[in-house]
Amino acid sequence: MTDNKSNNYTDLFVFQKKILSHAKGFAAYNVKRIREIIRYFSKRALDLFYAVPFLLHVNSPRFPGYVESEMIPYGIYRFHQSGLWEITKKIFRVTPGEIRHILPRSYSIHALYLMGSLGTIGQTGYSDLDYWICVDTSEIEEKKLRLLQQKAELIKKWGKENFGQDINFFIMDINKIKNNDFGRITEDSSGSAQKSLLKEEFYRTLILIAGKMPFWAVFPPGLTDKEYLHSIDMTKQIKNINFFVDDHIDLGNLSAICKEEFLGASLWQCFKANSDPIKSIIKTSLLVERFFADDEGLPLCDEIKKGFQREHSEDHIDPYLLVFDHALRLYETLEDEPGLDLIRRCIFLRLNGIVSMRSRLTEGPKKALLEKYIIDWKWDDEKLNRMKSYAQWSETEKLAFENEILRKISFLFELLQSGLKNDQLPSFNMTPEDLIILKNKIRACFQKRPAKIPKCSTYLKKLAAGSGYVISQQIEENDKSKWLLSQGSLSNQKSDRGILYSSHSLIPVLGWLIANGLCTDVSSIYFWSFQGAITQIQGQKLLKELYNFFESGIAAQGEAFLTLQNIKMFIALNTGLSSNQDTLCHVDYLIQNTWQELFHYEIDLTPIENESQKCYQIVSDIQFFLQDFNKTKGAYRIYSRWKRLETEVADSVENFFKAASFSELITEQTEKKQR
Amino acid sequence: MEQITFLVVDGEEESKQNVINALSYLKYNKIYTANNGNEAWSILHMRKDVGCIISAWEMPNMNGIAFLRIVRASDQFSDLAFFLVTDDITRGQVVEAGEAGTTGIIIKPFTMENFNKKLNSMKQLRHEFANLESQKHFEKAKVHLDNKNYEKALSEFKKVLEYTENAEVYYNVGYIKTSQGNHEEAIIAFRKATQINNMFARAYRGMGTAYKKLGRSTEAEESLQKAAEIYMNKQMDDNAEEVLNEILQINPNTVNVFNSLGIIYRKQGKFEKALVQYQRAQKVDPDEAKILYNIGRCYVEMKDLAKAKEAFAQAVELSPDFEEAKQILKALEIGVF
Repeated sequence: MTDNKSNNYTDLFVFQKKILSHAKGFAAYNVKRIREIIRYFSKRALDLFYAVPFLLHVNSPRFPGYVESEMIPYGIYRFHQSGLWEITKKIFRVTPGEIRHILPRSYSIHALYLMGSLGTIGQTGYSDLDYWICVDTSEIEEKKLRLLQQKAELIKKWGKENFGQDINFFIMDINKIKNNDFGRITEDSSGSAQKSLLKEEFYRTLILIAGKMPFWAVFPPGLTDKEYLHSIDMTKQIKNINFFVDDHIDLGNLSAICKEEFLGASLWQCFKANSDPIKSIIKTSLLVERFFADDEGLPLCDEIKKGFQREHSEDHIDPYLLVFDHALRLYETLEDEPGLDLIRRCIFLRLNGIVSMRSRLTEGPKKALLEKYIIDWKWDDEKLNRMKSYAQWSETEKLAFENEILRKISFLFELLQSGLKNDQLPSFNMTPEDLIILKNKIRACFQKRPAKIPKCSTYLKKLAAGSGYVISQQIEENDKSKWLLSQGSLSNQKSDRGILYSSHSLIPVLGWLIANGLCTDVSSIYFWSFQGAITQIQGQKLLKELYNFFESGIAAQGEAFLTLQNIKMFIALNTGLSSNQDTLCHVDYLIQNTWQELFHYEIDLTPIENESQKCYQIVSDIQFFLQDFNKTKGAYRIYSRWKRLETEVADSVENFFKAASFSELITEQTEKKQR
Repeated sequence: MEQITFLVVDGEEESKQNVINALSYLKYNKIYTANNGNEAWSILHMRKDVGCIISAWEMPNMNGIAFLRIVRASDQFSDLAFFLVTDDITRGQVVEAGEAGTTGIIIKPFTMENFNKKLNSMKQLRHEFANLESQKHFEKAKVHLDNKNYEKALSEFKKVLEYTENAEVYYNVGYIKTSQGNHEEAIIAFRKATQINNMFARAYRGMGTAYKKLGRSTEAEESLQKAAEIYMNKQMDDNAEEVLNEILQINPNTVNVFNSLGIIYRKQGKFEKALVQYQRAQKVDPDEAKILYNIGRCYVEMKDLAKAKEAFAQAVELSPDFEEAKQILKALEIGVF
């Protein structure tokens, strides 16, 4: 044997030993994470967690997620040899005779991972299950992929309907993951905004549920791309009964993160703050801390990896704890006391879970960490009780807290921009189109504009959709009406704390419910007014009209944010007026644009004497607000509880438009003749 | 009288004021107050002169016991006098408080006499002496002790005890008596020391060793076990390990000892050593699910998941309601590929 060969064998021996040890380390870490999932989930949520891989592994009409097609790709690599398969077989009462009929002939899914807060101290009872279904698109045609997508959608729906749990499936191409290509903003993905950063988060938080283990987990941290590729080659030479190269998957290396990505990612977090400001500020703080860190872009996931690859580690590093540590470190470094206080409050709420705040945390790592934090942060009872009572804060208080968070996120974004400006112009490392869309999405969420219906707190949006509301009329000292909206019952309106929103007109109150997606069931909204201003039936009917017209809850898709245009106009006549009205006195407009923003305007028509002139005023307003928009596509809707009035005005407005079209036609023909 | 700075912790104003009034009556004028454990913890760190904490047992969010445990876990305050005040107490709570390391429990309503007695026991703990004279005797005694002039040392220690009861002095007396082979008297002295300070691990250890010499192995084991528990609670693992090994010399089949040693080694990351101890414990008591659970945990840390699964499965078989074991077993069933 030559020296060279001998060295190679020694190298391979050492390499193999390391890889085997690392694989065992990852497996043990993975078990610990799964154990935490079991700790924090309810039995109901766990049943769903057990079921999902099974449903992706089979396609039978007897089980949820069935898609009737011979072409559908399904089946997870070696899932039927796993312990989870044995568990789910029992859950779904699969008979031995049935097994051979339901098992896939081959597999299409290389691996199924969970990513995010599950299995960490950040997990709450209602945490989403975010699955990455890893497939190789070079093996599956586009139309077959759509069938898999359909199957995933069916499982998602089944999960929501039967377990009340949100599941998100992301069908990922392994080659795209390898190249950090995670889609575009227009597909409502953050992929264009964060590339290596998303991969970093994936590696930092992944749990292997079924299928193949990423090579990343078995290789030591800090490899260059060249070393990573060389290591993959080396694994092919390993001959050991405890290591099969086919059980592993190449999802790419992660050596360093380009500084420019941080800017795009933090901009993306600015947008995400609309749905979860607490999560966003923690993530943005982490981004900024990493951006300015001395360790020159060393990925955080490597810290996790170092932990599970260590020979002996009593406790694994919790990925969320790591994030909290870095987020806190940022404000300590900046010596930003108010910022430190804010991030502590956010971490407290994140750990408690704002939904489950009322129930006490059970013993476990999360409770122990919270107790430690409270001591370390020197919180007194007043502060602790204040934070514990978050769910009972008034809507105004919650909004003020969220605004404080948004201001800090905005500051952090500026800080990042200035950090980049030192040596170059800030670049977002994303397509110009995606950048426009993302910026406009942020504007739509947060920009305050005259007449715009404001947003509600994210707490309310998350937790109160579908719950009961009361809309009541209050007569003020100057005999003017005020419409108050509260949750639950009328008694909640006894103090200002119970009021969610109020306005002098009824339409903006209804618009507020629509704009914030709080009106999913009109039968749970109760109306209470003086002197018959609106009855329960009339109120619900009006709300239903508004809901159907604006198709509430359907968010604007990516492309819609490239331009800004008003698209829909609801015209409510004499709303909230008590007596039977033959004449048109008051008009409310609710206008929706392509960004799904809603605006309210109202006009008093009593100074106009002639009914026809009043209708002409409405026509002018439609033309002003909707401009060139095609009016024939149901862009406006005239509504009144007095049907005769509604018909008369609608006809009159229609006639004006017809006449205008005729006049335009005549003008066009005259111009042609003249030419 | 030497001034001690007190920290009175109580969420109820009236109850807190009662303690403050009693302290003032006894001419203790340096008193800090806090409404809860968190505030108290801040004061402890900011004001370095706190010599004694008197805390209510019942407090919102963090009760007195929880606060005591935090104080005891800290190196800086592990020996600080800490009294718990309560108006009702069960035997179980007394044990709990003792294990957590309380200096004493003050039952409300208290008489001035009782209150003063309690504070005196604290002064003994703090090695404080009634006057300068007794302190001089103590220092002389220590010099004699270092020089192994046991009789002279004993004579000086006795003079100290004429002024005041003191746990440290009794411990030293016990130590001398042991060295002189007078184990019966040594036991009496050590017991006195533990009566004054029920968290005095060295005294329990001394007592255990003396019993061992007398061949009274049951009492020796009990005393050493107590010493080991105190050391473990105070995270003084090396001392605990020594004492536990001493117990094993008396009774080579003590399950608790094996288990405790296992815990110490696991915490130190010496999983193989921990496993050996757990396996010994299991040999003695094969039906104890907790030991199997600990064995399973060790295997997880050693990354031997197959063996871990086996151990947890056995633990669940022995104790079907053992939730922790069930959860981790389920995780192993799912997570091992």
